[in-house]
Amino acid sequence: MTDQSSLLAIVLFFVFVGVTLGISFFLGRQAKSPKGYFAAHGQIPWFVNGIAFAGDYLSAASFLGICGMIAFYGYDGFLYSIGYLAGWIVALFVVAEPMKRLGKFTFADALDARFNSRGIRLAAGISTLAVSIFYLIPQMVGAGVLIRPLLDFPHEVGVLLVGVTVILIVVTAGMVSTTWVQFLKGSLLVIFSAVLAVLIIQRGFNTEPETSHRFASLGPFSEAQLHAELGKRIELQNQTILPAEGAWQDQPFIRTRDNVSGRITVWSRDRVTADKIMLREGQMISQQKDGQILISGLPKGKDPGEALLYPVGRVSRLPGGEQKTGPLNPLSFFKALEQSEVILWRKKKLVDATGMTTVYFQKPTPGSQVLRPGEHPRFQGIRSDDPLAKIDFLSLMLALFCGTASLPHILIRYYTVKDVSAARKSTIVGIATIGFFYILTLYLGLGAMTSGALDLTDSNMAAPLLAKSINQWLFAVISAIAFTTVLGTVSGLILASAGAVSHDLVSCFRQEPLTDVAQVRVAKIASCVVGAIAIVLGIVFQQMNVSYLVGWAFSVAASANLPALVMLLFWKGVTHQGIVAGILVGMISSLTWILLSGDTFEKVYGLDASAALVPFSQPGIVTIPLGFASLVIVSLLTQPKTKTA
Amino acid sequence: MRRVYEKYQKIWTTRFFSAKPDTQSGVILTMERQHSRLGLLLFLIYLLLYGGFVLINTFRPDWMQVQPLNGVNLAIVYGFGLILAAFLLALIYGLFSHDEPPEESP
Repeated sequence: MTDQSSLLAIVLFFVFVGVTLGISFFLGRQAKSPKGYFAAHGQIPWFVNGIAFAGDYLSAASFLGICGMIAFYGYDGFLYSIGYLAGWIVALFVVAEPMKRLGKFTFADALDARFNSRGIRLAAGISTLAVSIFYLIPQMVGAGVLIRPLLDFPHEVGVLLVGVTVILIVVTAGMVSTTWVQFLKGSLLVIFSAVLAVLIIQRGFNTEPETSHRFASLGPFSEAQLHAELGKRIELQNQTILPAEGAWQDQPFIRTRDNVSGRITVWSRDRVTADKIMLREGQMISQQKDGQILISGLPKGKDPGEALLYPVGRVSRLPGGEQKTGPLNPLSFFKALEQSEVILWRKKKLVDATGMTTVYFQKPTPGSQVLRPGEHPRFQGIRSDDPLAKIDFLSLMLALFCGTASLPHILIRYYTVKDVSAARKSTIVGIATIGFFYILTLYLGLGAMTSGALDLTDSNMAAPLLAKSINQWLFAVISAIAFTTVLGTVSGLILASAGAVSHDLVSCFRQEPLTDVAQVRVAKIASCVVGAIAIVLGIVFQQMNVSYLVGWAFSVAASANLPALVMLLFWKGVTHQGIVAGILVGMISSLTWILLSGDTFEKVYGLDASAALVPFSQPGIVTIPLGFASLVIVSLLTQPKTKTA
Repeated sequence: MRRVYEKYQKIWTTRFFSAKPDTQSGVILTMERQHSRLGLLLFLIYLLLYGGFVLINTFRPDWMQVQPLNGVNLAIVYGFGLILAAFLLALIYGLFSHDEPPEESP
């Protein structure tokens, strides 16, 4: 952790949460009937609903995950922005109006409008639940991530706090208050991100950000000079070179220890020309076998004799050798960066008998590489000749394109407005707001990359820390908004799941429909259960970048829901068995693929990625067509002899 | 202004909507008919733009470093372009779609 909690941030934070809860309790009194609870009586004005779309959609993944990914790897994070927005085109042109016309409360309603089949309800209900829970994981992880530096609580407490707050919101209120909370949060998020982006562009680039520790570089030396030079310097500063033993053997690192403070500095060897090398100061964090955490060889903490990781991230060279660019404009911002050199940070894990050490080392990178795709390990494949890596990339971009229009918490928002035209208009408002925000993400991410405020251990914190590098107020506001973002999206998802349980699943197993009161009660119980599951998963998956996890949710949503939605609209030959088959095959195949993929092997099970049972990690390119194919085949096999329409 | 808009809306709707406006009878039939050609056309335009972007990134990633606009590279120009295009297409769709039950304009 490289930051302290400030009183201001905490006060603002609780004001936000308080206002949110207040709105919920106040509006919740109006939502006693299922129509009120699930669909806000269909009375939300289209403009409000449009901004609420943005509120629902710009989740922790967009704000925290994408900004973090851009801050650490450059342009690659923006690929997610582009994909997420493109999905809205599918939502607007293909899904929005029929959804509104056919449905009542849930996605299953729309699918089932033609058939009135329990099978469809069951399948659609289950897939809604599966997608919602998958999508909840990154939101909960984001919550924990946010609360840790803000309030100095551990991750688990953060997740728990969000979970409980959201359950309170959903149980007391339903769709009316969720919508207004989303509207509020969506507007604030976009407005303050715009403010932040303007400040970043105004600030321009500076090779020595104030907040940053000055990392030393030695050299360039020839290999022969290295030890003599290092020896001289070390003598001057009363340091000792540590032997390269254990895990340090044959690594491109040299460690020196300060004889007075005991602090260890790790240097990475960086070959700059064929015969010259540079030594660059890095940082390290060691997890000892006994559970102790050492930062640069000292116990972690703020007191004397303890150490914390320094915040990082700066431009190392500007065009013309300047130290500052001064204020820029939205285009010259990119132009200046294109001709600069940026210090990115990479890490390497070393394991030996004493524990595991993560070494973070500097990687000077030309700005032109930062502003092109292919720097992140996930996307490096597009610059290689490996066809599987290219397919993986195509697969992700396809899932993002198809996923939006299949997300349950987005789909239910079509029922909160009064008619088809309002559904259309609110989608257009949503696209405008979301598109504008995604343009901002690139500025925010690149601003964070060069702000000197990045926390190396946590890519998700880039945007709030960027705000902190500007001032404390902004940090407080941005953190509070980000937290409300999580609250809003989580409540939307839990509501979608609750709707699926009470409206779709329960009615499959009962002869008579539930009474209105019972339906709302079941929904509230379901909200508590789903909320509890989300809390547990948020704790289990805490190490993963949130926008990456969202990629999975999109894959599952696109594979399970999109084939059914699209075929129902464009093909008269669809049968209810076909729809059920499409949903189940799409859902099960994409879930299975994810569980067997290299990424899951490595990051969740802790196994070797090469042992994975599927050739690449992103399922979409296989499982979306598979969903379509099974729907069509089963439909053809089960055609009724005489058409009844 | 309003008259011009209405005139064009009429031309566009006759060109792109295969059927008469929604009569609210037979939900399914209307849905299929009314699922407008305009929507599909705009969808296909965007699909081409997005597909082009993804394919260039996959198979010719170096093209993304070309600088078509005063020191700004193709990755950014195309990326921002896709976001703007989404907005423009959505606006076009909104302007030329007809509201089934007539109601006051926003």
